[in-house]
Amino acid sequence: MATRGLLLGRSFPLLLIHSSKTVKLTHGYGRRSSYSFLGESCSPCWRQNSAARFSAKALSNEEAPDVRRLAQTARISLTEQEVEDFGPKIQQVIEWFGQLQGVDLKQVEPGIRAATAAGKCFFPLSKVLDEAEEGVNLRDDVPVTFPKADAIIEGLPSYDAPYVRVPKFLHKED
Amino acid sequence: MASTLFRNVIQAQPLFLNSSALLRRKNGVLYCTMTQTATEEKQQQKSPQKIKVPPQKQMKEVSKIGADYEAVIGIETHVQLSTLTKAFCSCPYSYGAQPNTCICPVCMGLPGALPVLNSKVIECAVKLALALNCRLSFSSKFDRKQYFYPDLPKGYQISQFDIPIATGGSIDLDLPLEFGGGHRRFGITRIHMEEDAGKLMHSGNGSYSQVDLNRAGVPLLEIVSEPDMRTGIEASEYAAELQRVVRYLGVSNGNMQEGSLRCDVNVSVRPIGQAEFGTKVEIKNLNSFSAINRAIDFEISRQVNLHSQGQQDSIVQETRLWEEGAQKTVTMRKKEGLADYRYFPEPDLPEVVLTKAYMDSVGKSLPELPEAKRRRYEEMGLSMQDVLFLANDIAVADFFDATIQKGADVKLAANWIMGDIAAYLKNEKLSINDIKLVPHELAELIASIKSGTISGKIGKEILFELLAKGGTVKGLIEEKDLVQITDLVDIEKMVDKVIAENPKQLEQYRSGKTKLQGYFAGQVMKASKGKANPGILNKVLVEKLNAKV
Repeated sequence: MATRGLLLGRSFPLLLIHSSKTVKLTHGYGRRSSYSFLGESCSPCWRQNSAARFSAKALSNEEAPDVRRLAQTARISLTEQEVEDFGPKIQQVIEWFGQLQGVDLKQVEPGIRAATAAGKCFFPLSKVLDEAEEGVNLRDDVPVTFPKADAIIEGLPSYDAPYVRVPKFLHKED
Repeated sequence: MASTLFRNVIQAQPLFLNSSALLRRKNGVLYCTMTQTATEEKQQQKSPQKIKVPPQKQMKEVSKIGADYEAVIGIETHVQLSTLTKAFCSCPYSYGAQPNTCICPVCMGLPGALPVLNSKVIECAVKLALALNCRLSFSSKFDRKQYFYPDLPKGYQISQFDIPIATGGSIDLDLPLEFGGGHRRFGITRIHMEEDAGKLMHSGNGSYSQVDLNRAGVPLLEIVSEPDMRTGIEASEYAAELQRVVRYLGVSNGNMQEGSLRCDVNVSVRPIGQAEFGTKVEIKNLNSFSAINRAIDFEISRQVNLHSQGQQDSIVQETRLWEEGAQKTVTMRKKEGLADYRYFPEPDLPEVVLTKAYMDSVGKSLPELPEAKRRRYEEMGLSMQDVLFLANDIAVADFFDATIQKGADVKLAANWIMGDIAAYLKNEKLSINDIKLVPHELAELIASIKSGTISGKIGKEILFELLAKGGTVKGLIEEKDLVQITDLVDIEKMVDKVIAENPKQLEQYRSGKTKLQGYFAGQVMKASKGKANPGILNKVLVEKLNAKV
């Protein structure tokens, strides 16, 4: 496991870009996380095609983001004008993050994910845990029936009791 | 099985060659389509009849065909955990519940809902990892695997991508005797935690589909094997052993029929001696261990056949479906690009951190695993057949162990359990935990027969009573006065009486019908209510019948 650093892949979510000229960047989750975007499906390591990791090459100006493909994978329809406009905007966002590539991480332990006090859960022997100290995020295996399941069903756009009705899909398409 | 399928494929070969030749020349397209259909129809007509081929013949044929080729098989298994609640919310899950009733905002992926991990899932993962000799990651994380599909409410599946909870283990198993026996060890690449999707059903008339989201969010453990298997039987035994292990551990009920154990198989072939793998093909829709076996053997012969025809390039990386009716694999979809799941760490879930103390405490709670049991039973002197039977079900093994502990003879206990008791369980459709017979009574029964207190035949009758109604051996012997009669004088008296009462048969015996000894024995047994010791009885009978002149 090499130093993960901060690598951004092409498939940066389109969530943040809506309007206009300046790209407003909001942290969706309120905390800085280290994302590593691994573009391709992996699982078994013995598979011939192993995961491709996007390198800093993706940040260079030579590789403009493939907006059409991004929109397709996110199932967002764009007009031709939007496809043209969004390319440079996305590139700007990537470059803005890309400043982090300048940080020297040689002396830093690779982090698996954002580690905050509230972000770790430990498994001591005893069941009684000092939550304030450890910030445990685990739940006991105790069933609780959600009381308003009816409301959820009512909110479904297409219900064919007792199933949810959906258009016919045969294959998992990306 | 493979041989007959192979024959079918061979028959089709010349036609395929012809049709491709015709296609190249851009004529006769209609012709080749029709002949292909005719061939397929013939195959379908033939195949259903030839499903049952003796396993040994099957193995011989496969090895004959594949003498120059080696199959490389890897299996991905999904095990549905039998926790009370789902992985990331407190919804109770029960198989067969009314559709769309075990739901809540979290598993339905409604806006604002956040996942909270069920601690039992981690416990199950650690148990399984330790049982499969894996290396546990002290620190692992969850990732989002993103794709759109109607049975996936959030639009992503919470899984573990690059840092799973366990890596690098192995599983030991013994092949059944009817397939040649032998011990095998297969590697495990990784185990990770993830959540299940809902169930998508296609309606009959085809214009829409239906989704049941009860299953969405149920915890799964995905076990990926090393590509160590080489034949269909090795693969199906691997799956069977995984089922045994998860049942022993109590983490899952491992029912393939219910979907709590699902296997996807990857098969490729390569010429023997070649280091690189051939093109692999994934096979889905395998609903039983025997389906795994047959599908793999079919796929191996299909690929070997293409290789030997020089058409290995027509083997493409794809997903094929196993058709149980036709007993063959068919292409599921033509195009198979590598899916882009855009994995990234799940921001709503913290790192999963394990301490050594926790791992040790879970390790201590593990029961004796199937492999350890098999080796122990072997050392006790049981035959491989007995070993495989007894170690297959943990409840049966525990019953056997308890009986042995009370001092019963190992071989006799095994025989009783595998014979009469197993037959009873099968007839009454019960599990060994349901019967009224308790291990120490079985031990008592065995001891009573061994000591001669009761005869073997009486023993069987008592057993039936004990299985159905319980009670104690001693109690039943007393109550029904079943103690064996072994006193010589008593038996002689009974024999004399019976001989005196049956002069006609005595005449017949004396004149040559020696088979009538059985008749006399039967009469004595009847008079003694089955209590006469058969050995002594027959000895006395022979003496007396042949004595007086």
